Amino acid sequence: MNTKGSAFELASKSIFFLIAGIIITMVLLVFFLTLGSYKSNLISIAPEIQTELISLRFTNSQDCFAYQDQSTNRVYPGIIDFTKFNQETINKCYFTDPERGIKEFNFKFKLERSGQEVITNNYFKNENDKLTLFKEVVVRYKGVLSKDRLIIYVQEKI
Amino acid sequence: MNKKATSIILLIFEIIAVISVILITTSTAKAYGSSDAVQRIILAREIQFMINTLAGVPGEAVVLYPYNVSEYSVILNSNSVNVFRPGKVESTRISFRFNLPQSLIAEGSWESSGSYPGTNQPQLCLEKNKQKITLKSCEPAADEATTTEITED
Repeated sequence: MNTKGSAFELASKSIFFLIAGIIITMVLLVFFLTLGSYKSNLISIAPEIQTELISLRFTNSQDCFAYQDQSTNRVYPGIIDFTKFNQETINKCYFTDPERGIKEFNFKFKLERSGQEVITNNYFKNENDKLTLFKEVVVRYKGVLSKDRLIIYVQEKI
Repeated sequence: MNKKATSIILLIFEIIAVISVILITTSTAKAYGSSDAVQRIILAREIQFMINTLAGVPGEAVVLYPYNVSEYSVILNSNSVNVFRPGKVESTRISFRFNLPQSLIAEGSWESSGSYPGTNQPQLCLEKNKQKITLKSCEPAADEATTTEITED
């Protein structure tokens, strides 16, 4: 009787440890996953903010589409030089790594009135856009200024 | 093995298991709570944002980083910003990439080497000058009141 009772207790303890081991492992997994999720929430930043900051250069910088008076070198932020609105300019302004660049922000630019479009080197036309930005701009073409809207389509991590 | 000895061994295992779980969870939570990794990520990301903003500024500009980052070192090049603890480069390095216009370059490094007069603020600055963005220590401001006002914001 004593031997039977001892064996039964040992077996029940083993089962207890097996179940406890599984539960503790699950609790630890949930704990680490929760912490990981908490950390990524803590450092996450809305893509709207990131793309808004990147896209400042497209209308404000002479390296991108902004008009620059050649005689004074003065740059006019918000005024787009239509002769610079092309592939060559955007490749100099925003060029992502040919291999890893698809994980970064990529853009398509469209001037609403003229319909002219330009894309960055890793923008794929068949993929969905993550978000769209709108900028009221003035377009300068052959000395004439006209109001327009620059639509910026954004892709990220295809 | 008798019943009493078995029970004692199992009890010891139980206690060890419970203590181990408590220690692991506490130390992990403490590591997250100290937020050193988060601070490094935030610093690197904010410098990345400042670089992107400066790339969109047509003229010259200087940005003073308004928080105390004296515990960290920062290295900037034309493709990325790297933040790490001095002496623990590989184990603590956080890196963020960015894409500058072709004509613009970025460079510089920063390590805490002093503070503004009357404040504990370190002097991390980003300066855009012509076609170059430089990470460096700030020149002490001529007007101390202005400096204090800026750093308190």
